[in-house]
Amino acid sequence: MEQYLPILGMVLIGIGLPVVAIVFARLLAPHRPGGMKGDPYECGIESTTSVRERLSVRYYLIAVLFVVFDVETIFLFPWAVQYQVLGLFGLVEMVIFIAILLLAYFYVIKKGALKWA
Amino acid sequence: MTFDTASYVRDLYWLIPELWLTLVGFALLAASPYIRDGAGRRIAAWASAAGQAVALVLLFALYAGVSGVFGPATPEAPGAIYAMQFAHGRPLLLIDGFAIVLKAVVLVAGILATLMGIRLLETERIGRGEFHAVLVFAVVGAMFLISSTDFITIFVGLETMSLSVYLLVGWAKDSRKSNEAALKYFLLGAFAGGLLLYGMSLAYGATGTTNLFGLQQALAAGTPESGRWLLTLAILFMVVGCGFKIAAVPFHVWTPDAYEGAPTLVTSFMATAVKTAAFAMALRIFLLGFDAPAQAAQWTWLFGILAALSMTVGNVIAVLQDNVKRMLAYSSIAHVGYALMGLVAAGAALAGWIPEPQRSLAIELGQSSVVLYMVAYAFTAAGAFAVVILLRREGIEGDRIDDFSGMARRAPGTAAVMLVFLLSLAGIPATAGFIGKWWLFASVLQGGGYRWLAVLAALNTAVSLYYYLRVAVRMYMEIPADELPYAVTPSLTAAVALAAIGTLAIGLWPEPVLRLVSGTAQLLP
Repeated sequence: MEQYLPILGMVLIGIGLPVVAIVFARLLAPHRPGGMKGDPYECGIESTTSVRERLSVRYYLIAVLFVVFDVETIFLFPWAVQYQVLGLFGLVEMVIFIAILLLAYFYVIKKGALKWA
Repeated sequence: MTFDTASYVRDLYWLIPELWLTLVGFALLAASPYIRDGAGRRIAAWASAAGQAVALVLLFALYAGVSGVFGPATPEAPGAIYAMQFAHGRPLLLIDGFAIVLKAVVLVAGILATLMGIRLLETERIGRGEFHAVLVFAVVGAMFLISSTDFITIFVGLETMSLSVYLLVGWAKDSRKSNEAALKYFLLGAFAGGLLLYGMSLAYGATGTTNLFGLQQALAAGTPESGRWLLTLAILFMVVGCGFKIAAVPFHVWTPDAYEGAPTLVTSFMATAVKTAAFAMALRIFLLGFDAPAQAAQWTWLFGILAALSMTVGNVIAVLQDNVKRMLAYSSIAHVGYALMGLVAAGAALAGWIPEPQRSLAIELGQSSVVLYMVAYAFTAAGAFAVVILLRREGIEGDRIDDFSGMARRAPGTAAVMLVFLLSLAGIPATAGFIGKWWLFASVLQGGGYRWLAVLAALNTAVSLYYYLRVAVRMYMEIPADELPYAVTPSLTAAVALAAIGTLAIGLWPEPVLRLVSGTAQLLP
């Protein structure tokens, strides 16, 4: 178990630091709440509208599509590195993989998910 | 390292049913944007059912081609028909009798759910073409999971199945109940998946392998003192994770809401196929990976407690339900409790609490009785849910027990078949449920300190008779609740008939199924 001791130490430091910071801030800082101080802000700039804004669902769609095609490249890289070893078999497997993604792409187009207007 | 293409392709050959189903799923998905009317959707549903039926034929063709060849596939997996290693060194997927029988159960459950739901999807206005594609993908995931003998493949199969089923549960987008069900099921399912993964990572940390055969060897060789705590924690996490997935008390809280809110055909699929696959996972992990006496001693009593709690809590709360789907949900929790008895019996034997000669019998009986119970329960539960779908008509939810009133007068045949399903759920002789319970009771009665589970199960069966027969009383002794004709369609009738034939055939002529199932035990090393 000894090799795990440093991990225990890290856990203790990890818990200890924020506890110490919060407790000392409470003890040392003057506590004078006011109207403006309770406002949400970003980088010191005053907020102009409510934070609870509605986001377009398209953001979600774009994110998902991005992930799908991003992951595709992640799989392409190791295949490219091992191309000589995998040979024709690897090529066939990759074509199947791309074909499935292509099918998904056409499905997305047909469903109208890429129509922005 | 050279890459052995030939062995890889040979391995893929044994996945033909799954590969075929994947193709079916993609074809359904590609066709779905072009399907706009009811006729097209019905064709898609029938195509999906036909595709799954072809997969079932392929599965048995594959099996028939090698029947009798239960020779050692690898030194590590004796008794398996084939061990897929995918150039990995240790079996990642196993094709054995256990896998083939349970995959057949999942496929039958998928076909029944597809057939029973064709009209329901129209009534609920949720019949978008993608539904059947997602259902087929769930079946593929379940089949993959059943064969898996490595933590990695187990997790891939489990997530493929679970993600698809989360979608299916929330398919009725406009229904609050369905949304709530999907969210609860998703959150708790993801949480359970996380616990399972955590347990896997701890087991990997203690033994240095993600493979169940590797785990088995490492544990047989003995573990150092430092690894023992990790393994105990790993077992604890995995018992909890599996407990969530099979819906055992106290990890069952999502079940009634998810079962009630999901479209009824999805409920049927969850109660039969998903549960079967989750049980297969639990059996593989604990009977294969953690089969060393020291570890078996740890998980056996945990599952013993889960079994006792599940059957008691499930049955007692089911008594109070007025909604049939909720009642069947609690009943399915109770049935998980019964089925866990088989796992407990095998565990007690592995832990060394049962002396030879009963020991090997208890291990074998424990494993095969769980498989048998899954086969029996799949037909019975699917049949009961199909009859519930019959009551769903335009304007009537049809999921209250009162909706069954007077069914015997309006549709005597259907009422008789429903009675068969209810009696089978209660475990009355001449039905599949009786044969299943009989083996489970026999397995815990081998000894090992868990005979009290059989006593508790018998008491619980008496309790369960009350609420199953309550439905029968409504059907036979009360006047019809409404005049609207039942939602009879050829496909639904076919599903009910198939389920009834299965339930009665196993109950009256159990010999073929028993032979098939007892062949699965020796194959699970």
